[in-house]
Amino acid sequence: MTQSAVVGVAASLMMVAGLSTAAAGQADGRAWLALGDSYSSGEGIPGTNDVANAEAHQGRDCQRATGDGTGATAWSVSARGTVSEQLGISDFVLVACTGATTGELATQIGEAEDRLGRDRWDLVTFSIGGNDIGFADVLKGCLDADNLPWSAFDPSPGCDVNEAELRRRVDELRRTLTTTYDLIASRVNPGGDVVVLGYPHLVEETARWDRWRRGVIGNCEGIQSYDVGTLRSATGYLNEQIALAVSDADGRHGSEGIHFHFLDISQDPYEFNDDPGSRHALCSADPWLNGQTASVTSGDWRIERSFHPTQVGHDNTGRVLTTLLEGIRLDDPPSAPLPGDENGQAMPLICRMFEEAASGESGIWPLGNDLELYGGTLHGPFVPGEPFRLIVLSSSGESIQQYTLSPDGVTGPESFGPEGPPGLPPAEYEFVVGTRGVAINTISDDERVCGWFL
Amino acid sequence: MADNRHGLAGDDMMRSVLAAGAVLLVLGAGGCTKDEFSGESSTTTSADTSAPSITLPEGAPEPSEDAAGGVLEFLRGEGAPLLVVHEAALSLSTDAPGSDACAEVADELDGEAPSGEIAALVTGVDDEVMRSALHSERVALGTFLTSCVDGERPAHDELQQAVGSVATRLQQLEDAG
Repeated sequence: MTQSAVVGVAASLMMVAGLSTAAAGQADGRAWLALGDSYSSGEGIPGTNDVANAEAHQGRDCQRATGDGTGATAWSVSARGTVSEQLGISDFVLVACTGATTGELATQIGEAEDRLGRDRWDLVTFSIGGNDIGFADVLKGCLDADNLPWSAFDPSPGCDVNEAELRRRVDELRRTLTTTYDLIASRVNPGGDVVVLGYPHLVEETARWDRWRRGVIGNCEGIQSYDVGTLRSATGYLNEQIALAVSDADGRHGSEGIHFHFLDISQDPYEFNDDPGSRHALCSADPWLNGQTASVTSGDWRIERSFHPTQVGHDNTGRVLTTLLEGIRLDDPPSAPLPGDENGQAMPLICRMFEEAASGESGIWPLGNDLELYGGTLHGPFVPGEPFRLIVLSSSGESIQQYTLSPDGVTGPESFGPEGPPGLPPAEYEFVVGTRGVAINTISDDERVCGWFL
Repeated sequence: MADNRHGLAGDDMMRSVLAAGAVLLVLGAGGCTKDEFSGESSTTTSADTSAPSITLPEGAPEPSEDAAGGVLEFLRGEGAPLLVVHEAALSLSTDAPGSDACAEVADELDGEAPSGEIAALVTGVDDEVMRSALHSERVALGTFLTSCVDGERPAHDELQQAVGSVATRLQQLEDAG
């Protein structure tokens, strides 16, 4: 790509950036499809509706916090009330169901089609994947709640599944997510958006537990202190892999104008920072999840509500979703593919630079089987249309190259030189400013090794 | 959920358990570290046995009157098997049972308070501290009995700590309710 081409595409970027702040006034008549599992259906909220015919569709009791006739509102319902007008949403359907796996989303879509008489959607939101890795059964194992004889207890109480096994299951899920997201994209109108939510950590870090809990009781709602690290690590890995799958899906479907977004609720709103008042897992000072409880005092005996977000959790998740939705349009035009996407190839990885730069860390970002980009710091704020700097370090730290990207193009060195950074095969690299982001491509074969979106 | 089909009516059971808990707390105050199986004792008797040594450290939230009332009502009714388990745990935590005695206790509990039912009943306790304490007690009792029935000599530490936590919280609930 030539410099003039870069500038040309950057001009498009500027136009898109300018438009993206003016979501108001979009055409109406659009439809929002709320899919997902129990974290999407509102299972944790007393007063959910036992939806008629849901069992016929999905083969199980699907209670949903639709807000119809009760104050129980799942996060999608909460956000809908705020952003529907702005996004031109006139149809909304919540078909999420407790226990749903990726393989059941097609059935949920079928239920939605039957109920609303349409087969294309402008906005799709959901959380999915937790049941694919058997998280509910993992938790049951952690609680040692089986009806064993009193003389035949597990001599080693706690979780029966170790972290390696959980990660293996997540890796397996990752492959499934590709086809799942493609299926969903096939039901989205051009220009529409898909928002995938991650999962909150269930239990607060043990180091943050109150002293009486750490020192005497040793568990949080039946989860032993020594299992908390495993569960938190597995949840973090699950969110990370979902995020990567979402980024890949965005790369595959961006040219159709269909954009995928990942909302990491484990951070915002559940654990926004280190302030105890900003942390809301179980055994924090202000938990937004149910513990192991049958809600006796409310008269609501669904044990399934255990370990699920409360109404407050859903309200706050709805709040962060609203913030995301206020920044999108549902009529993005299909765009010319970014260089490297001409063959419909998926971007292999979205760099984690944002997170790492935000946390002040630098590291090694794996870019494939044999490619790695060493070090680096992204200097923000990273605002579409605004300049930012990217400093790339060689692995030895001897070479520092600085680039400045702006709507006018790229200034500074435009390549790493013919030898490339240590650890990378000889090739030339260039930044490419596209309509949706910036990518680093190898010039030699146009293979994209790293990229990220605005 | 379970019926109140146990030998003691709920209120009687509660009084019995609280009284037994007081005994345990007093024993705890004496710093009893006796090895029940060998008969060796390193008891460090204290002249003052009025202050319990098994307490929840500062910071455990105090139960509100309403919450305490609800929990106690549950324990006197449907949750009564939880007190059966607590009483058994209390007894074993201060006793030196042999394998046969442990097997007998386990058999009785399997009939009166099956472990799965207890796990379910714990979820009905609307006090997070008590819920976590009861969970610890259930697991500690189960592992103690399993080890004991197998002819091993399980340590009392975890069971005593779990029983003490339940007893202390129970007393706090009584005081608040």
